[in-house]
Amino acid sequence: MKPYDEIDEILYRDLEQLDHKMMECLEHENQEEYEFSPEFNEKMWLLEDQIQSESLRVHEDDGHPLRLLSSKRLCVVALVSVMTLLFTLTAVAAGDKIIRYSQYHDSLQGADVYHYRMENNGEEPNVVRVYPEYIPDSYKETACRYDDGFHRLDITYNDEAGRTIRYSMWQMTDGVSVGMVFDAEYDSGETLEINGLDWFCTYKEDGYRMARVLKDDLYFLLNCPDTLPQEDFLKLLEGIVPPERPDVPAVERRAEE
Amino acid sequence: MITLIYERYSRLMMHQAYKILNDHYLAEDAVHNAFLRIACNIDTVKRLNEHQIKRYAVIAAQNSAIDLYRKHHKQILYEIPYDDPELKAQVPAGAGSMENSVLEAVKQLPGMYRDVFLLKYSVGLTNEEIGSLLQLTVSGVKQRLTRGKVILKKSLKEGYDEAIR
Repeated sequence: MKPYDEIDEILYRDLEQLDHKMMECLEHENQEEYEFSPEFNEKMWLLEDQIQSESLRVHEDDGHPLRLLSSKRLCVVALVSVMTLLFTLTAVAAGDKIIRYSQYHDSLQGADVYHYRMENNGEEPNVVRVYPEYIPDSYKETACRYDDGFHRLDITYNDEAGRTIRYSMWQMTDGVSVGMVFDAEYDSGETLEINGLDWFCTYKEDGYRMARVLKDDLYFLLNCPDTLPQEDFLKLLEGIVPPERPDVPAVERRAEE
Repeated sequence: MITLIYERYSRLMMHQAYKILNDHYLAEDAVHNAFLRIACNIDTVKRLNEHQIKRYAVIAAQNSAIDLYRKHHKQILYEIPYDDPELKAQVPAGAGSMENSVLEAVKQLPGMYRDVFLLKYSVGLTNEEIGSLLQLTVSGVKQRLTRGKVILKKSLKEGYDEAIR
């Protein structure tokens, strides 16, 4: 019987070859071309976007170089920036032109969950894109993407220290349900009326300043670092001005589930 | 890097997760969780070669799927029965009898040990890096290596005894 150190030597020397053979067997078995769901692709897209903009990185307290977030923290970041979008076809009630809206608190995840469903009788939406009119001088746009399929605009701004402001705008689309999950473990929250919009703002120390609002068929989400002064945060909200549109769906709010 | 892994290996990862979970939606969740794990360990992944990244991604998907399976089935068992084509792999030609026996024994190890062996000896990760991927403590990784070697030793001894008979 050989001693363990010789087994170690054999493993270091030869296991990689066996691993190649094992992988070949695995790949040989995997012949099918699986098509991932839009929900999965959306989540992957968000993840890539977050990595590209270095939003997965945070400063250490002592000012040393950046470090990656732990898995748990990463999940919270994902929650904050809309972790889940569920796109399912829904039956559309003829004649109505409304957005159905409901919400509940998921205590297990520590999250607020919102569901929207547009019933627009098959009509194409009057597509609009709303860009923020104000961004603090220290921040520069680093990514801007518009998804034609879901009428969604995402813009990322970074400052030199790597801090990120993330702005998103969705336009509800007929026959599509949207589910959003937000971190509910914030330190404080308030509703601010700005430009006729009731922004729901949440604040978390060493985390974020976040604001969200639904205006007709448009949904806005702003996610800023907590280091951003409140004055700048309010200016950002003032700079988000949706256009007046006379022919838009009504919003019907259901009782909380 | 994440985009590259997604483009090249996401379907392979999906296939592994689906075999364990037998549900496309859960399998997609598992693959997404695997990508979160990879994202958290991206500095480790960046120094791996193509084969090593593939192995890393596959093990990440399998382990995420197993975690989901246990969560949904309220099971504490690690081993979940599913068809494992990797067992069909032939030990590389030219290996001596001792090497052959060791590699055959590694192939037959339960998944929880084999994954750690592959990550350590084939991919070349440290115990800390293995723990970070599999969400184990360093002592948990060491324990699996030790127990895996005990199983290896037992298996080799049985083979040796049979050969003598």
